[in-house]
Amino acid sequence: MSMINLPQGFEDLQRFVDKWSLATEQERMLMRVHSSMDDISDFYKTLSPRIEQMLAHLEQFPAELNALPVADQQLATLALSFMECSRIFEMWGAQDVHCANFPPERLDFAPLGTPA
Amino acid sequence: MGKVDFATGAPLRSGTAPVRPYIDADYYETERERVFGRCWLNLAREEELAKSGDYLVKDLEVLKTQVLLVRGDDLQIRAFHNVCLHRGNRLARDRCGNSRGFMCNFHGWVYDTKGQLRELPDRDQFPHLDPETIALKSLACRVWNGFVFVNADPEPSKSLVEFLGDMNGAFDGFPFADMQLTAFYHAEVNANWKLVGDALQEAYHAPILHRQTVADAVAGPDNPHCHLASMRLHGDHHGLSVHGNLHHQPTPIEQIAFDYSASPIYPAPAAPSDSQAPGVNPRREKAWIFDINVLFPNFHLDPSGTWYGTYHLWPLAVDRTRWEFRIYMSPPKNAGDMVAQEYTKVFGRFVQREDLSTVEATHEMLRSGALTELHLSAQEMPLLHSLEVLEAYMQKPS
Repeated sequence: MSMINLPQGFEDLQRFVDKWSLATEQERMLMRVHSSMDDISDFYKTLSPRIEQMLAHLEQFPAELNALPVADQQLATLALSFMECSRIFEMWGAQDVHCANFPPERLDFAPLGTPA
Repeated sequence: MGKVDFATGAPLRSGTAPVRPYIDADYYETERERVFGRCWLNLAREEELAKSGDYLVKDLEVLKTQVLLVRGDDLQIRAFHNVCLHRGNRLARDRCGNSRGFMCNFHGWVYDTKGQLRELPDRDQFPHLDPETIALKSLACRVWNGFVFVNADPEPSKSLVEFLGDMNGAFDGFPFADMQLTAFYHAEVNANWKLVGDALQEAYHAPILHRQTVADAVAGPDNPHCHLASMRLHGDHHGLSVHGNLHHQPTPIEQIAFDYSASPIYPAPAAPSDSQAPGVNPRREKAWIFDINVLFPNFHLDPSGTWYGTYHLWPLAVDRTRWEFRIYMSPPKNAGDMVAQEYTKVFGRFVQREDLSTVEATHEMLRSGALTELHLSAQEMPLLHSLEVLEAYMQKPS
């Protein structure tokens, strides 16, 4: 379990931290597509009434994850995962678009010229 | 709506397109030389080379070379083949950095940021060579609206300004320099580069292929087939304005994210004003989402009111393409804004994957030669135009 608590006022979201507070966009994308619909549904339904408070709290920090205190960084990555999951869940109750011909793993996020 | 080419007033044309240019290996070899060897190609944004000494190395597989872009002490950006004049070794080894010059790690020849040879170890043993007179092999390099273009033709038949023609002033006033790279995705796609580009330069596919994502934002009851708001041909290039559905119903989090962000994907700014760049949504349509500008041969510059995207379709072989997509937005004001922008990136990834999901199967099916032509609607006229421009280059011998 994570030893770092979310900032005051967000304690009730602590149970999502281990799974969803992920540092990179690619990790968050892969967590979404490999999660069960029960997990995503729980995550979406719990966070959607709180996301505006989360955004308001994060306004006091610069737009640079590494510049945030660790607890707030966890809140920010949790919010980023929520953005990752919410679109396709709201539209279709799904983890991902139906796009078997071009799975998400084929998108490369690395700078060009990085050895695979 | 979308009945005429806005630039010339000519009616839109439908027609047939030949299949051979997409699948034929000989055609591809000629294309490399006569199209990519002659046209101005976009390689970078000038912000990537902000200070003197900043450099980037770019693979240009289609010309079997690697290009070294570097900003000199005089602040000019220059482009060189990344090859040492001595024995042909690769010169710069890192992909980017800042340097006062470049030393070949084979025998230690050193070049400055203007490409001049500065150090020639054991110079006496090269009596036939005057080091003052030799310099790295350059490519023509020019900057337009902050976009760095190169031309591999030793004597380009057109300057960049002439090549861009009526596109030149179209983006004057667009705040390219105020936006920053928000996301960059790339992929190797097993399809001809034109099939990938074609999938990104018409909106006829939106109601079907994008039914899970963006269809409702671009095609509503008043425009069920997503006819273009306008289209214009500019010499070798063209621009299209994509209709936006004013009755689009956002989902709850979409509403929050786009209200919050300074660079929502849509809606476009409520009243497109005359102070906007003249070539961006030139008819000032209210029902508008973004423009697609295809700068021949392989660079798409797609501005909306508050963001812009780019595509580069780099041929690797007749049936392989490196697809590159970048999205640029206003720098997020704070960490909350950064989170809101994430919604756009996720949404963008879905749409991109849908766009890429047909092209490999298309290439695979065209390969058989069972079809010799394709049928294009008037709404797909940009594809016809690109093929006609391509054919004109192909007809001009070396």
